[in-house]
Amino acid sequence: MPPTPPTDEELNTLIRARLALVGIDLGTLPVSDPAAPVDQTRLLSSVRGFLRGTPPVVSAWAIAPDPRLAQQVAPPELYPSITATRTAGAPR
Amino acid sequence: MSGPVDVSLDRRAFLTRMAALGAAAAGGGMLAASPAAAAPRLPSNGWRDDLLRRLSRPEAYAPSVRQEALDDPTECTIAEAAELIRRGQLSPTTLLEAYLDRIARFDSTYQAFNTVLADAARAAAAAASARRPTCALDGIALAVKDNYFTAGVRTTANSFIFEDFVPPTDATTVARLTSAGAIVIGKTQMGPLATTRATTPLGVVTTVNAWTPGNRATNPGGSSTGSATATAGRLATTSIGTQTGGSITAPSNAQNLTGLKPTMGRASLNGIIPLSYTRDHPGPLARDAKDAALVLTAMAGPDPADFRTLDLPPLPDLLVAATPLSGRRPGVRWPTRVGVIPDFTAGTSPTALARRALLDTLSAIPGITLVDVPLPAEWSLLTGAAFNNVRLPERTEPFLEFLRQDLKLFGVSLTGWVQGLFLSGDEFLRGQRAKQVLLERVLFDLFSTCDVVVQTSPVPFDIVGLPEIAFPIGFDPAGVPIGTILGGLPYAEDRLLAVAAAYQAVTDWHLRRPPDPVVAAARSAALEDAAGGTPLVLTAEEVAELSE
Repeated sequence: MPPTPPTDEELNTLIRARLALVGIDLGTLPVSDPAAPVDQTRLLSSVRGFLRGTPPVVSAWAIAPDPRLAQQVAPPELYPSITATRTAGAPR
Repeated sequence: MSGPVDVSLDRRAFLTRMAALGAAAAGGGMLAASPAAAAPRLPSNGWRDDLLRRLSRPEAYAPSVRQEALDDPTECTIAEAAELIRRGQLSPTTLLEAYLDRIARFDSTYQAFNTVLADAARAAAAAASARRPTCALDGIALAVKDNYFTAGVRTTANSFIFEDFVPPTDATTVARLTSAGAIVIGKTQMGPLATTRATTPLGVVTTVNAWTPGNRATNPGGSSTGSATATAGRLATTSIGTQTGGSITAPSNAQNLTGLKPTMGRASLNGIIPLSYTRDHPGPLARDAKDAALVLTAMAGPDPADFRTLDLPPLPDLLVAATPLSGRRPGVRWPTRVGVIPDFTAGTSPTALARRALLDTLSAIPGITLVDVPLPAEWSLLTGAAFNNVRLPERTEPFLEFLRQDLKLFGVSLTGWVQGLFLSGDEFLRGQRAKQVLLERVLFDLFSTCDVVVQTSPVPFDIVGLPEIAFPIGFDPAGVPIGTILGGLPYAEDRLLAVAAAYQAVTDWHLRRPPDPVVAAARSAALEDAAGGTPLVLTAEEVAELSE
């Protein structure tokens, strides 16, 4: 049975903890100020949306149906065009 | 018995970098400009001679100069100006003063520039006017996006973080262009930290589309907005920008320009403020394919300071590529299959109509064949929002120190930089594996039956680092330009230029220029948004949605 999706408050706790762990002070923003470019309320909302929309999709993507075989496919590649070109003539 | 295979690395570049970073630390973070530090360490194997030879070929010069360009030098393409300079009919000083005059009259409306370097440019133009031109770029006025380092000149990335930053060196690509004689006329407005269309760091819209200077609501494209507006508005002969998620192709399409985003590694990123290490690409926003070829020829090449540029296929002759066949065998330089993706012409919008006309024109060019191509498996997923967001930690990491200082330093652009803290390492790695899978499907599925492919979004090819060219294909009923994007195989900028040049040989969209702004009326209109009365401002939510 899949876990219960986190609530807004649970995600806010995660967000605050993560920021604190890397030394980022959320308090440098006003708590709630519609005139400010960004405030804490809107930033938390934005990051909650990101957390709900991006990690689950990326994490759930299956490279191959059998994960034991998926491990053997497509090592991570920062610059695929460069590597593909440099290795185009490599002996096999 | 042979000896061990010991790899010998280049120690000099390493020592130079460490010395520069150590000097910055000792100086409290301020990098003082000094002559010794002014020049990036470019290859010492005669690269400049090779560059000047390339840029002096007959194909670098216009075979004829249009009457409009003879009447007004700001109308010139690079190739036309170079031809007139070579003939002695135009001096770099005269050309520069014509642009400075237009900047003085119109940039209060266009708002294309952050910094205008009038004195330095005049000195450079005077020197260029006093010598025989070294190549086609010698004496040409160049606008530079304000995320490229320019030695001794404020480089802000339109941000609070860099508002007082004066780099000690030029970006490698700037050094290459100026070594060929290009004259930096100024630094251009851009989306803050290279995110959206140009705004202030707090989101107030600044730079306008040169085609609708009285209406700020018309999107001028971003984030290389000022570069596009400067070239389109005839405030410079040409300009350079960067692209991470469309920032060369989008403003080029919005302002009737030919923008070329080369393959990752084709041009050095050394000395360019990063947005995403794996997706930033420097390139030209130019008036036509030939001009784009001229600028990229100067920018491209191996750079010891950027390993991404090393051990790649040599740069082909882009100037020949951008010269269509004429005479007895007119047409595209090499037989080319143009892939057409599903729904490219769907609908009845002006863009759809322009795309249909584009395909009709392309199919009539000798040597070009249209081919319907399906999109690869999982295209929408692997190029959609979630996998596109995998880039976000790349912008967060180099800016961690500033996030710790004060979140307000990021102004209206903050949310993307904070979101990048919330992708886990395993998700980032899965995203890099997805890039490899996506590239394989693009190369072996999408390109199995075509040589170039039309695009409806620049993002997929930005994700995998493939080249794209944007060029004009028409106008909508309101007179706003419509453009298209073609994507190519790795390091096939020559193929892309050849197709664009062949299209431009039989069309004239790229020759059209916007009328000059009516300054008084445009200024008051530009201060109002669609509702009237208040400046146009992008919110943080809009920035997050639109951000590169």
